[in-house]
Amino acid sequence: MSKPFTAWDERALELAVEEVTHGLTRDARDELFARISPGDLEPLEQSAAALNLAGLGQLETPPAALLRRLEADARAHFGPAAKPPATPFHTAEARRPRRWLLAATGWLVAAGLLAAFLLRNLPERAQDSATRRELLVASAPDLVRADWVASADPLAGGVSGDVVWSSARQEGYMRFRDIAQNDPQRNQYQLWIFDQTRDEWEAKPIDGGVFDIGRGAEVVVPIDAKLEVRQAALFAVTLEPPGGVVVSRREHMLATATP
Amino acid sequence: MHAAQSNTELLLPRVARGEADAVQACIARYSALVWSLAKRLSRDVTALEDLVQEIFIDIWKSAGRFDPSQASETTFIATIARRRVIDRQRQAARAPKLEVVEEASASREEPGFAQIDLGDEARRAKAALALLKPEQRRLILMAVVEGLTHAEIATATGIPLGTVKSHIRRGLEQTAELLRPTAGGELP
Repeated sequence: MSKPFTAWDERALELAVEEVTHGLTRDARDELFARISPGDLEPLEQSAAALNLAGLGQLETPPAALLRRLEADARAHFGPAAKPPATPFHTAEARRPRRWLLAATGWLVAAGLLAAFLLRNLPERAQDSATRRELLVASAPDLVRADWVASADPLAGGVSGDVVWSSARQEGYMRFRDIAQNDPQRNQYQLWIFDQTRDEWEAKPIDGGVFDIGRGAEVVVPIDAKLEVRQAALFAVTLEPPGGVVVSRREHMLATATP
Repeated sequence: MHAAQSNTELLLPRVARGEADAVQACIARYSALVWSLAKRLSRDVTALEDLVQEIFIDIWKSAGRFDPSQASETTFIATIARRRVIDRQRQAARAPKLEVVEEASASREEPGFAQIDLGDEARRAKAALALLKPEQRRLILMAVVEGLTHAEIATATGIPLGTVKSHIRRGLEQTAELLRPTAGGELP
């Protein structure tokens, strides 16, 4: 049973206040813990922490290199089970059939395994993309963000959401709400990134990856840019034949986002 | 459970189970807080990144002890961070006093880049601060936010050491009373 600080003697209280505000010497700390138990100190420690939070003001984002070290430390601490999935940035692509796998193991067996795998893992992977997006938003110093604007194409529906991109990290995520589920056998969504540092950038956007949309009120899809994106001036989503295209005919331009 | 947590998913219980996405989300949610707090309190900015790494290791180790009925996640993490900073300071030589005051004051002007819900306790702590006299408020913020010792505060302000100690003690006691789980009540 912990002893409330209101019941401490004067000397214990004096030492405790010094310990939680700036720390005692080792000898003084020993004296304090001869009078109270370390656990008794917690309410005062939490008060100091709360006051610290109240007076902290605006928060500064840590360096990106430190964030990577924190993630590496976490993996070392929790072991392989805490490692991110081998393809953490490719949630939507995970739904695509993989021909080499089918050829290696036999179509029926592979299809069955793949279906079971997707059923078990898709929600977890989608959550991971959302988490990675949150991490990028919190830490990328050069982050650009833009809201999707639905086009007049009837297939666009009421699509909304946003896109975030960091050129420094070459990483970005699309977030969609109210976007129609597609049938990958008939068509797939494809992202195009217009990089204004490139020649003929308006005519030759960078392929940002092909993706599918399944069920879900909100979907987060990682961007899979095929070339380096230096300065994104426009993001656009089209609907294309299965597998995507090298050059879009832009017949179904569904949504655009301008940073 | 503390009100500030009701709309925010608790991460530490899942971190304690080693769930990878919770660990990543914990870094995403709290790294700016830990970094900012350590930067303000630490006297050795060259070792700041190492210090933040140590704090997160402490968080991973302590996640299983988190009790949402006693404190919010934010306060729990801030408590761990402060404890680690103080342990570091205990082992290190103290920096010149007035230089630290000037450096800490300058850092207050730096723009922030992240937002976090600091939690119900921080709101109550602000209320506790509001109840203090301006001089008391200034002294306790110098102690808990800037990390100055009581003697350094006395030197920097010219206020007698005994008065500094009593003001800081009163502020902490008052805040602890407001934060007691049984104290109850929401701030308006």
